[in-house]
Amino acid sequence: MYYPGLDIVLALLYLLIIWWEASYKNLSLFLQCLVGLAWQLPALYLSLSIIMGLDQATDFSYYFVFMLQLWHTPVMPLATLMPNLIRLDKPFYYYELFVFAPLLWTIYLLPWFRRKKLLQKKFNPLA
Amino acid sequence: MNDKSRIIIFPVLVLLLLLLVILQNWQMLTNNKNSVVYTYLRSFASGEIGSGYGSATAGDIPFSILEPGDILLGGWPNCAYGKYSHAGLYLGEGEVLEAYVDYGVCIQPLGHYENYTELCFIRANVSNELKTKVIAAARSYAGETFYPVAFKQNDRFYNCSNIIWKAYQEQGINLDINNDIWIAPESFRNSPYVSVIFEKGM
Repeated sequence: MYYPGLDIVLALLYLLIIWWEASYKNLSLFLQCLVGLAWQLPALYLSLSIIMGLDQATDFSYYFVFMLQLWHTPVMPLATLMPNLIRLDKPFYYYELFVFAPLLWTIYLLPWFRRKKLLQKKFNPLA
Repeated sequence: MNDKSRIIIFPVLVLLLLLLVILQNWQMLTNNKNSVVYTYLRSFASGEIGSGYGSATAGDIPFSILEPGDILLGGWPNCAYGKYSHAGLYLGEGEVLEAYVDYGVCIQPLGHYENYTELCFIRANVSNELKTKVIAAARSYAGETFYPVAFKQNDRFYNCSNIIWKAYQEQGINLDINNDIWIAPESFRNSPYVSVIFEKGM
């Protein structure tokens, strides 16, 4: 964010590396799910706490959103590319904070399905 | 490329960029004891890390003295980045331009400043015509994205302080005497371009 514009390139690179990493691992679907879950567990915990209001039971409820935003720093530049819409008093990027964790988890999982598809193609006797 | 080298690409790039930013600002970071980084590190060493907390003290707040373009600073004890943890730009008619993590850059009613234990109103010593331009510029940022450690020179992320700094800076008034890479609410209080018109707290 210090060098305007470069943050978007880095955010895209981040996603590319995640995809790359997930593509090279020869993990079972279960394990790949588990790794993705472990990776995004802090964000999922923070998101669910905020959505379900569990954060209100602590003295640090306001910091939950801060922590969630800081966690998603690598992809935050992409959030600024979206239009500045306001829904229910909140800006669009606020809702994106809750979507990023499952989205990144999905990005980590997708290469598994792609790999499986490629393997199926390779061993197709009709090919 | 093997597993280990793939994994370190991104952290290495981020560290390199961080190093570049530090080198570019070496003079300011090492010589300026009032910089936000210094203040934060000093606070961190004494166990303070956030925006502080507290409860409001009773007392009459003279909101009626505010004029459009004035800056409101609010703070809690134990704030890690100075006496004041929050800043807002008074737009007139009871409205303040602020920035919060869950609202982004937004326009809020003035009343909640009663809740701060530390409160300060400051007035930029510039013409009303220029203040009108500042307010128009500030209003145009409503809806932009909040990020707590937004650098001053970026143009897509804002926090409560750098949105005010930017609105004035666009009119040729630099309210940050430290020329820091970040700006904290405290910086406005120390600017030679402003006068304090009200202050309460410790």
